[in-house]
Amino acid sequence: MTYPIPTHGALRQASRQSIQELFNRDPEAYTRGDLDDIIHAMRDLRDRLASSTEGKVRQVRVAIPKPTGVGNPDDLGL
Amino acid sequence: MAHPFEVMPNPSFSKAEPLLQTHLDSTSLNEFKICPRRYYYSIVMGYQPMEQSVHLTFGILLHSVVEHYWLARLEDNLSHDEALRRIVKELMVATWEKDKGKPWTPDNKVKNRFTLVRTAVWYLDKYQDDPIETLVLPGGRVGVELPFRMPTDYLTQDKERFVLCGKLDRLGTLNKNRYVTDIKTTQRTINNWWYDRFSPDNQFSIYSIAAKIIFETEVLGILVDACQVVQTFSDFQRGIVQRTPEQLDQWMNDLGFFLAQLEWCARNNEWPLNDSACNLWGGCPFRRVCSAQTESIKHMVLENEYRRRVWDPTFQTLDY
Repeated sequence: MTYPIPTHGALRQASRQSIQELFNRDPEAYTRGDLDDIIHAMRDLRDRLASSTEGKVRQVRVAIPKPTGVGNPDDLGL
Repeated sequence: MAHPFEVMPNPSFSKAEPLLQTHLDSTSLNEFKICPRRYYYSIVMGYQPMEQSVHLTFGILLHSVVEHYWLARLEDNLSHDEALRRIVKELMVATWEKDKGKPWTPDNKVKNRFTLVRTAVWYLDKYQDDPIETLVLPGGRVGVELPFRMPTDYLTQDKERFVLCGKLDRLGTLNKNRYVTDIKTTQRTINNWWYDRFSPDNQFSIYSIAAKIIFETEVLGILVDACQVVQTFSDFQRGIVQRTPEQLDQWMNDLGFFLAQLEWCARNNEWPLNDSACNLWGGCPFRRVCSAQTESIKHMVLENEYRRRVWDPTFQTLDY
């Protein structure tokens, strides 16, 4: 099954399991190493994002709407 | 109003008047304030759209694992990494559809299993050495995941007391001030205007009052961790939503008006439709029901497009 992966860069496979493979496995059978791989993948993604945007001004791409009293369904306060 | 299906037993409702909810949480109150008819469908009859909102699922799971993380750190004395492993496992199991043997895969590029785990790991890494010190209640109970039931001064016509219910994520101290903490997710850029939406707000008013009355803790406000979740990253900011004693007094005063309306609706089995609210928040989930042209079509829509569940604010057992 193809799992949506962020378009910002590809995840480095190296000696760790691919995140896709891990996400498609029954988590009840996860080992400690599997959990570490998931956590590592998330941290690696964050670190590469930080280094790729270092020194650059982040563009605000999400428009800030004026408060109209009509809410956004993505923002239900959860 | 004829009930299309049998009303399900719900412990949060009156023994004397079966359609009258006496134990309410902020969700119940919000539903009624938006539209009595919507409240009737969602809370009294327990209808929910077949596909639970991905936003609801995402928010519930994130709240849950963050609370469990702090319990693991404070009660079980786990290290950050040990606690993180535990909650990542919990998340992955919770988002695995065991009966189908496959992962939960909502059709949403922003809120899905991957971004949920990413958000949890990044958030907890960021706040692992949280400057907020979690309170320990008398008796040694850690101030995390605190359900409450707060009796009000309002009585029904049958002399049953209205009770406000809920659950505080955490009670903590920062710079000698006490706060209730909460987490909110959004796709929007977080700025001052974003925090303004919580003043006024039912949930945070109830939390502030509960902290004071039930937990005997005068809080300066609600410390809100906002989690911006988009497809490629999660970002976090912390802000404070304050309430003055005067605002809380006014809120309690206004509550009486809404409870009186709620009781009128229940006793008369009349649930007026607020047609000014149908387009809010992306559209009411019961719009198709209310716009059905005949009762039989309405029943068919309810039977085919909604499932039923009991919304019971009292289900959390008080353990202190």
